[in-house]
Amino acid sequence: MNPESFADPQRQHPMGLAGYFVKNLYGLVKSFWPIAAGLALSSEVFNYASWVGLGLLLLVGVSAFIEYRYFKFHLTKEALVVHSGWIQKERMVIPFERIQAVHLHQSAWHQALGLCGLKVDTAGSGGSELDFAALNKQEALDLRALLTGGAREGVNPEQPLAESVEQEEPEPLMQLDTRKLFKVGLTQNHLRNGLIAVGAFFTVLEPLERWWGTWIESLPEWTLLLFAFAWVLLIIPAIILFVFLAVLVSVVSAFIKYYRFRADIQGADLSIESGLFRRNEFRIPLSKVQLLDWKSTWLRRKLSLETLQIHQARAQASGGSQGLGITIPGLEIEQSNLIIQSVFPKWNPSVVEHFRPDSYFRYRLFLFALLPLLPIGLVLGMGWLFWIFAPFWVAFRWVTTQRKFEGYRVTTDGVGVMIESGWWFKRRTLLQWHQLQRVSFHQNRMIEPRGLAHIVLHSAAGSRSIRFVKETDARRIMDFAAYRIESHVGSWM
Amino acid sequence: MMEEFENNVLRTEHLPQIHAEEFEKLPLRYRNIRWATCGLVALGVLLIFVALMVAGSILEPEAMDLKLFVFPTTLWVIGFGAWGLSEWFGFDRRGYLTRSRDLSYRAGWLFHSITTVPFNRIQHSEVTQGPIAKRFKICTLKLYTAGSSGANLQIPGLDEEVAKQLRQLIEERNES
Repeated sequence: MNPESFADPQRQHPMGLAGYFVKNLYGLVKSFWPIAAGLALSSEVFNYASWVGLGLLLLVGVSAFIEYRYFKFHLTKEALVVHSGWIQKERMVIPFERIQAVHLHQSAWHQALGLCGLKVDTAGSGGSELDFAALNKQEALDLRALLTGGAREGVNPEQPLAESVEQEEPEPLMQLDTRKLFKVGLTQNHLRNGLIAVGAFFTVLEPLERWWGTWIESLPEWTLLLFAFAWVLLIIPAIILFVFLAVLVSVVSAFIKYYRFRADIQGADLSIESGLFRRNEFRIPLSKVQLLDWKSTWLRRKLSLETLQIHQARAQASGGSQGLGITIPGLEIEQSNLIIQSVFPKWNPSVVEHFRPDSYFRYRLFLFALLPLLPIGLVLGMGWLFWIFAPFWVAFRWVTTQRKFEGYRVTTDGVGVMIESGWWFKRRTLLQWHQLQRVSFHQNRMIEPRGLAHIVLHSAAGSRSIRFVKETDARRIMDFAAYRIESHVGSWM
Repeated sequence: MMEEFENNVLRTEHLPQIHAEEFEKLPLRYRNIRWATCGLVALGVLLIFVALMVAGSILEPEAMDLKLFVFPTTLWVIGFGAWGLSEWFGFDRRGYLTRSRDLSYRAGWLFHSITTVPFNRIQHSEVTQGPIAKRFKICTLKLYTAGSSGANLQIPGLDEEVAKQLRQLIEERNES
């Protein structure tokens, strides 16, 4: 690795042009395909389809060429400098200390040609600040090593992407074999995946209405009559089909996303590799992690698995929850503990103080859970059906809100704070007091007379609330947070 | 020679308490601006409503009914009544507190909050002033910390001189 090799402004690998071409073409198709499909069915446009297609390809090709031609980068002693743009020229300077993480990714064509894509995340970006379409693999590894500080203990940037992990750490922190991957797929949110699949199906179907409309019209009249009378019988098969498709989509998407998933602690970095068609390698400096977020469903907990999201500092809309972060699925408790020990080594769950919400929170949860009864009552006309349904709903929601209330707990050992919530979908968040950016105390006219308050802890990776705690505790938490932030000496990210 | 080692017990109740401190109030002329804004908006909405009603009674006199007035009028009274109350009772709650290591801002009546931003987390600060605020010599101090695209703490209605001093203090504290 020679830093001098990046001292002069240079372009990406010439295949970067192909990368931009594919990216722009994909963007164009994704944005305008329903219109294109509709136009393709019109005979006037269809006759000129080859010319229209050629013109669009030319347009995409020219824009890709301009993007590639005017994209140059080089390294100074302190920053990565990128020049881009043809008519509107842009010069971007990213100081090394602002870089949160550098990710490598390899699509099938990258792998075939021995190339790599590279993404740079900074705290000032909601997503990736910079995306290199194609670099020589060794060049990408060198660049990543230089951008992330290079010679960290345990990291050998000279090793190629696929081999680097295996040679350094024979036993990975975790990896997903086929069986575990299947478990991850089976425990995903099937309802969401099923609805997405159905949505995608109808989105594809809608612009092609002319074709399937003609097909339906060609069917004999008796089939339509049969369907009109027998559709009730199709409800159960349709539900079974939906469940089957939803599970299938979940499992397939888990395989595509997490195939050969592998997580390692390499020196001061957490390294993650995954992906079937597109191999991604994320490497995050452990010191830059701001927040750990575990999520689990009832089924996933039965299989002793959790999903962990690791968040770094990012730019975000106020109160938003999206941003820089990577996901580790199918994590077992021992592996979670290992990650905690590496990321927040001072966290000591054996010396803790607990904060629980006041029972007012329980009744409030219950009250809100009963609200759907109003529209349901209006729909059912407050008839006998409603009065049969309502007691069941009240009993069911009493149990669920009770469990939800019991699941809410805040724990601190003075170094970190763990916020646990949820019942069916459980979530726990761990962050460190000294990494917080600010802290706020909230009250309203309903909870103030009851001596309750909320505290919001704002970190560089998002905000988390401690709700409905005693006002005296809330004040203590606020004073303590301020003390921990202000007395901390050294870097917080 | 070994340094003298201290490991004193630190109890959270002995930490500096934000709530126990006296917050500095905002200038009264800022209250006047807020009242004027509230009054003008209320008047504007009322005028639009009256204009719509007059237009309606000219164009469709048969369709006009007293019931049509009830809902918007109630909404107007409740909305601007709540705004007026929150201005009346809430202004005295507004205030800022400068300690040696942080800056806090308190605001709100129905929903009130105190936000504390430590100086060592401030990425940059900004002072903004609109034409009306300029006329009354008040401005807004905006503080930005990491992890957000917008200002994380805004203190509106500060005296120009005070805002300048606060900004200077933030810069000094960040440099030290």
